[in-house]
Amino acid sequence: MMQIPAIPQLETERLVLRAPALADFEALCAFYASERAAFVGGQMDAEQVWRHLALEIGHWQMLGYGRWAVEEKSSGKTAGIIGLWNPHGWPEPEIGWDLFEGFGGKGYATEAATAARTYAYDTLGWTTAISLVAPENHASAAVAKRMGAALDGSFTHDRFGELQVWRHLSPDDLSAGGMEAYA
Amino acid sequence: MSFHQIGPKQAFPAAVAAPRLTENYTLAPILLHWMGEIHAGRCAARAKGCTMTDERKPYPRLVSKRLMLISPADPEFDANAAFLNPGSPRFIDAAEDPDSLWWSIATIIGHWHLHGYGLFAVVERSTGTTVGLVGPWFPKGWPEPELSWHLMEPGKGKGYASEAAQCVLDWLFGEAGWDSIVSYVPEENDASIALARRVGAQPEKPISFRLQPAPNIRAWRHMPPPRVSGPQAARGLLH
Repeated sequence: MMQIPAIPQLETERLVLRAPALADFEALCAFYASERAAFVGGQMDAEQVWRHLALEIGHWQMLGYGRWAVEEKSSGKTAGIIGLWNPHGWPEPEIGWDLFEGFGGKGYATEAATAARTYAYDTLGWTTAISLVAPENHASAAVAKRMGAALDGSFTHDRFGELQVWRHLSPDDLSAGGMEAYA
Repeated sequence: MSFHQIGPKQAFPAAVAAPRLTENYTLAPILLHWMGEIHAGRCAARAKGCTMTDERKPYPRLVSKRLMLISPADPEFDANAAFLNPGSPRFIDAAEDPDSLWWSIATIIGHWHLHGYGLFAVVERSTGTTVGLVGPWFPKGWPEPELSWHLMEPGKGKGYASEAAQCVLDWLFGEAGWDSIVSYVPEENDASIALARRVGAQPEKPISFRLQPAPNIRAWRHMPPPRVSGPQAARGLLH
């Protein structure tokens, strides 16, 4: 196979954030066939998921950043797709987290999304970031809150519908100690 | 018939290992800034200090008389500049909304990374302008890899589609070791049918599959040119 773009690999206490690859296809199919997909534009069949996987990788090349496949260190399984997302049509760069069935309730989304936020601020030089959350997706909103984000209006997308905009703590907020309350 | 001889994982490295010159084109695993033909800038990622690709493994570039074909996944190729200027046409199942072209191009780039091959950007050598996309396309749900061609408006009417398609066919059959590839052509698309004939494809049966790109399509099969070796040719004469 051709080399995947040199997508940086990040490591947290319990997770490895690495380049999405064909090896993630089955896990992605399961996610997009599950009820969880209702919060991310609806269910997708295998053909659509394959193109979506290609899109995840192409996003990295088009923009120089993207989402990582998040691997649970203890099992080696793919627990989700989490990272930085800003395809055309997005209101502004987003930190997004799609956590797969069976990996909820462990703080994985928060752990990976916090690593992604650090990468966005420290490596890419972002000065702000949002997360888009479907109104009924309470688990996802809880992740945003846990990271210290605050509701900042809404955004309506043709395909994804109305989404809450959560504004993350800025790099200045974080360096001023804003994160202590959430650490 | 035997198709699918080429697994996605074996198509590419062999193809770039042994560059050669032929009468019609040069297959060149070319180094950076090769011939100065790429006017596109470096990818945005690199400007931010994030090198996207291992440059020791260059992507293939094919050159014909008037065209250069380059993978849009090549880090030297600026897909944003080439395809996303105002007025650019739509490609590949793009819907009507203006954002869908970006999504399509990103998907086309990802196809290269997942398969090791994909649609080449077709660059007019005299101007450096990208005029289309031509190459093998094999998303999940396709019966087999398809040689697909899409020309932007400024590239039409010049014979570029057949020149690029022939160049890709020479590469697939001569370098990458493919046995066969089809094109799915709508029955009412006279221009595409003429193009398929021009590059030597033979019509097969009408075909339908769930995600087919248009109604009423027929498979047109491209095959490698027959090889005539000395002894076989002699036997042919005797019989």
